[in-house]
Amino acid sequence: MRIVNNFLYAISNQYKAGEDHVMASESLRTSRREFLKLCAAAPVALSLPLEGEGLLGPIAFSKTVGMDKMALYKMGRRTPSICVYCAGGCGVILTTVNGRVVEAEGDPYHPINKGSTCSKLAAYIQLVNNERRLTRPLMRTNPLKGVDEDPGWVPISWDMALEIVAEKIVEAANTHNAEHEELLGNNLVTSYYRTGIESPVMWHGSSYWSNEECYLGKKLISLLGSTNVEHQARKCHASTVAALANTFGFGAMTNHIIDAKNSKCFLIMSNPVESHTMEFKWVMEAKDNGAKIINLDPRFNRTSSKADLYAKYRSGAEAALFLGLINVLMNEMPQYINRTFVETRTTAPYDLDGNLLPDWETNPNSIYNKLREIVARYTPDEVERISGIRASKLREVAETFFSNKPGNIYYAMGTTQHSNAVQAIRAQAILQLLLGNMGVPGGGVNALRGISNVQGSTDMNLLSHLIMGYRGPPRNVADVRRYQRWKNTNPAARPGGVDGGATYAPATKTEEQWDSRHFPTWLNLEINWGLKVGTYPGLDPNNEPVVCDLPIGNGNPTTQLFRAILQDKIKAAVIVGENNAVSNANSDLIREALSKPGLFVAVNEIFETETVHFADIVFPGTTRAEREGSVTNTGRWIQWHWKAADAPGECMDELWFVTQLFKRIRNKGFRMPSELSGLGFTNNVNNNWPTPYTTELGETAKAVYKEIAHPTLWSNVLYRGAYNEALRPDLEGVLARRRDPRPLNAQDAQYGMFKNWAVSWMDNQRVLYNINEDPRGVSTFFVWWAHNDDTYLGLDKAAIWSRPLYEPARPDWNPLHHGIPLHNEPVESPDPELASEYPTMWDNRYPVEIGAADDYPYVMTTFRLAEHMQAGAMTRNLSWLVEAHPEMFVELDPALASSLGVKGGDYVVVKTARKPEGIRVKANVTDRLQPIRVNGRDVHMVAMPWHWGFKGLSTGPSANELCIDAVDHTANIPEFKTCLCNVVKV
Amino acid sequence: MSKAVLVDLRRCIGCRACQVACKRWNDRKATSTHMNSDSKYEWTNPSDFSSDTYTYVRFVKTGSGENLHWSFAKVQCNHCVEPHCVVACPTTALIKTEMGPVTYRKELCVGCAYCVNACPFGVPRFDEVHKSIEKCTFCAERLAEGMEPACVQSCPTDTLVLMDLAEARQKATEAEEKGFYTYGLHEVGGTSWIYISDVPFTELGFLEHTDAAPTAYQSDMLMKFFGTGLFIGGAALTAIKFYAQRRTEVATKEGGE
Repeated sequence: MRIVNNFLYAISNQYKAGEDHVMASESLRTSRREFLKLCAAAPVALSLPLEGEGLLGPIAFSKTVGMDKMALYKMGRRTPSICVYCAGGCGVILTTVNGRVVEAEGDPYHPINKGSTCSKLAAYIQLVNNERRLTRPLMRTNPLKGVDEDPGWVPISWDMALEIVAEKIVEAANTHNAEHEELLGNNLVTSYYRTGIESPVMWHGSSYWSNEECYLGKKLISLLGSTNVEHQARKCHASTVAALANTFGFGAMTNHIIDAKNSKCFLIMSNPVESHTMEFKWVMEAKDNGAKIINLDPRFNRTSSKADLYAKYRSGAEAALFLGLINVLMNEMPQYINRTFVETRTTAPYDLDGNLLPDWETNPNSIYNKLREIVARYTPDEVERISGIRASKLREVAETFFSNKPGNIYYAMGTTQHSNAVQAIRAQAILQLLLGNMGVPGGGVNALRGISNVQGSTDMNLLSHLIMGYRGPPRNVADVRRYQRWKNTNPAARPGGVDGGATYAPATKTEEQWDSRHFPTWLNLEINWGLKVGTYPGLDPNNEPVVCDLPIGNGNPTTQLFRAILQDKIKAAVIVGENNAVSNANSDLIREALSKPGLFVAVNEIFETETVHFADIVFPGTTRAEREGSVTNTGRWIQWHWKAADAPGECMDELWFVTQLFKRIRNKGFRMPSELSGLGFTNNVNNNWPTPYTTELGETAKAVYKEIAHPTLWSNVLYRGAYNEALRPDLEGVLARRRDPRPLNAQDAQYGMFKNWAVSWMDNQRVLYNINEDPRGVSTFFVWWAHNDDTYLGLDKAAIWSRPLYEPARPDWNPLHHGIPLHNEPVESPDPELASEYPTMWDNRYPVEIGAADDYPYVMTTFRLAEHMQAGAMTRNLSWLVEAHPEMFVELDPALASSLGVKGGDYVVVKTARKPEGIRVKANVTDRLQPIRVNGRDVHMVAMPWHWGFKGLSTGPSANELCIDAVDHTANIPEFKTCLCNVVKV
Repeated sequence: MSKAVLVDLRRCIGCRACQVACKRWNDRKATSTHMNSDSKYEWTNPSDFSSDTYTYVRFVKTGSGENLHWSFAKVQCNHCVEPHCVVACPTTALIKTEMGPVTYRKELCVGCAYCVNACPFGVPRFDEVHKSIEKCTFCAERLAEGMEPACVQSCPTDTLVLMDLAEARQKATEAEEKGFYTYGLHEVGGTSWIYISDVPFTELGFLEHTDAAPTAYQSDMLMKFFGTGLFIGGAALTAIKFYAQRRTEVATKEGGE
């Protein structure tokens, strides 16, 4: 047991244990009297246990090293914050003296990390107090852009910078057509709306921003009529969202960080030690209680070092692995199938038409047996042929995982960044359903998310195909017309509805289901944002002009977005807290796009990143220590962080930045479609910016939080009720501020749910789909399923066969594809035979450079390090982390290295079809990598961290310059994790 | 009550939180490093103590193939129960406190570096700039406030746990009885940082100290203070002599006038 840290507990107790009080800064300051008392005690502590003490020890000389630091530390005031790195949601205590942060440590009171940190959080103070930070707005003077061009920065004022950016945005946005003529019967009507994908304005980022800032960013870009908005989530867990939402209902990690301790077995497909360190705190606790750790990874890494069972496989074979496990479960170890769970909570006992089959276990028409039919191909021997995991090892993995329940699957980029990622994740989910490991503490399919607020930024849908809370924008004008009729049905409750107008009559059940999912969100956005969405005057929606201030239709996902720039379709780009020049696949193409003449780029950042290098205007942002707001961790906990210090120089906080930017855009004459219609709409957009609560609460994070999470006028349905003034007036209704670690009830105490700590979505539920969790949130799976558009099945069951993912147009894959997952080879497969047997899902939706196995014989993958963060700006500028992992390298297995004549420390050039000239990197020859036997021959894996770029304290080539930018069939996530490469010695 | 840190390497995941937390609390600079591609110690950075590195994590690969094992060993001053460096220090800059830490007072350090040579683990380093030694202090000032050392607080997996020395010795003894390896129970008479590992410590690059018998610590310390006493006594005698001589001189002069 860890010894109770008395002093810090004393501090924590001043948050008032149980009353989850926010810190009262003054009371935290050690009083002068206490301080003197502590000083008086110090010499006693230092006295020598020997005669002779004092001979040379007068007071002035008895100060041991560290006492000055302690004196400073004790003078400080403490502010709780949330770590800015991965999505673990660890608590941070910031100690400030005279407005300067002097210590940033783990929060001992926080249930997730209990005072501990990873190396990144340990170094967090270097992020805050960093001389390399941007402190003034900058303007580019060199019109030429490129990696080797000097931007010629000159400092300018915030006012001027904002004016220039607003001007450029308005100039671009005004070219975006809002008038559309349509022949309805014999009448030519003019509708007013903007098609989102046609907007020449784009927004990119950021998962480092708080929920409130992300929300305002999304609000701003939506008001501009653009759906060309993306951020980090597209590149990390877009496939998770698609796969899990279509299987369970929500596209999120099903359990939460601490819940790991309830597990009996872990099947780890990621590297949590290095990418989500604090998760491993709880894995180790489970291990102490006898849990088994299975780690499958192409590389033996720091997580593998703690595994009971480790096996390597070829990157890109994840779907085959899980289909193989399902095969073993159904055919060799059926005793582990949770029959009751499968029967009552999944679609397995139904046929494809939705009829329940009482004899589902034997009836060949049941989805259960369709699944068995599909996975029959993936025998352990076949999986060995595809993946390189020996059949005996696969059975060992199966037996271990199946027999130790509840079992937990952890995964991250190793599974999500593939062209068939949705298939692989669906296979994981189906395995867990068959085992009955869902909706229970210690079980689940747990997507470990990588950035501190990437769950929140995804919930706020900084994505091109969603608008808010995973609800879509109107797809077309027909949607808007139907929406007007829906409002007419209940004009008293739905502003804009017309009494006596044509009312709602959905044509099909599918349509009705879609509408009931999306319309309430549009209604609240209409109210909260001050918009008009409907037809005019509303009496006869089918035959009237549409007036819609929400952008219509999906925009471009990130890879297509940068291609749109190259096609001159985007004129103004706002990039905030995201480093696309390093983090996007095929980053040379991204850098070319960012250099495109005619594209205006504004970037909000804290360091001069590789992306800043291409900017026209740079805004200096703030670190999380310097602002307040809420962030949502990987386990969906919405936690508040308080402001500890003022930002250096002229840095301004992000909420203010977005607020100012839109005000200036409006001042420069940007008009909504309703305002352009001349139909006499008086718009409330200005009054409702940044929030409808500005008069009451000011332009604050709290006001935005209220707008997002209001119990009835919520903007984001997932956050509904996270603002509750009646429940917690002392916290001003902000439930994210709760800091009470006491359990709510016996169940909470048993499983470590911490329901009095912060709040989680939905409805404070901690384990999704848990029918036993009390109070109940969403306890059932809820996957929409209609056999055809008019047969409403609306099952509250998890989908073994997924109708939304079913693509009858691709019978060449298989009759059920891909309603039931299959293995498909990566776009670049090392084995032509496998590639023809398991054809890639890549559909050439845009051209990419694809290399052949003859030219590029090795399989390349990328990975992360515990000491570095994503594209690296937040760690490669911190000297302690650079010291720990100082430079870019490539891992080679000893056999490959020896065949190339390469020793550790030599330089090699790694080449792919994207970059035939390759990148020059230092070789790390390691026996942690070994050749993998695939289809009868050895395949070498070549692995690189992807944290480096050409700016910062430590610079190096970016692995993503090599990665392929082909994307997953469903989710548009690039295949970062597998491509083919060649390696030559320099 | 003397404190100890039990370092259970079986739990260490090599995240290096401790290494960075130490730099933070003690305001230590980063040292210049290069990617360590040593076949056994790859990724160990920094790879040695320095005046700016009180602790670092050694990454050690043992075994091969299916039995490849990757261990991570945090190393720092072991805070000997009977520290040689304290004996060697001529100015009592280095002290062993009641709570366990071997810490030091920079103002008293004259830069003789005797401790550097005396340490059986090669821990203290001489800071050429400030002409003083530098090493892990067990965060003596934090212990005095009831806080854990910075590295211990930061450890996510309880690899590092602060406890009473007696308890740590007992836990290590129990582990030893179960066939695990320990370090610090017997070495140089026992240390306040005690390790448990599933890999032999010789393979982890730890120095072997077979001379388990404690050195003549008490007598050495006595000698030291005896020596110091002689020195101070001698100085006092000299001062008295000078004073007396001067007084005689002055008196003679005065008398002479």
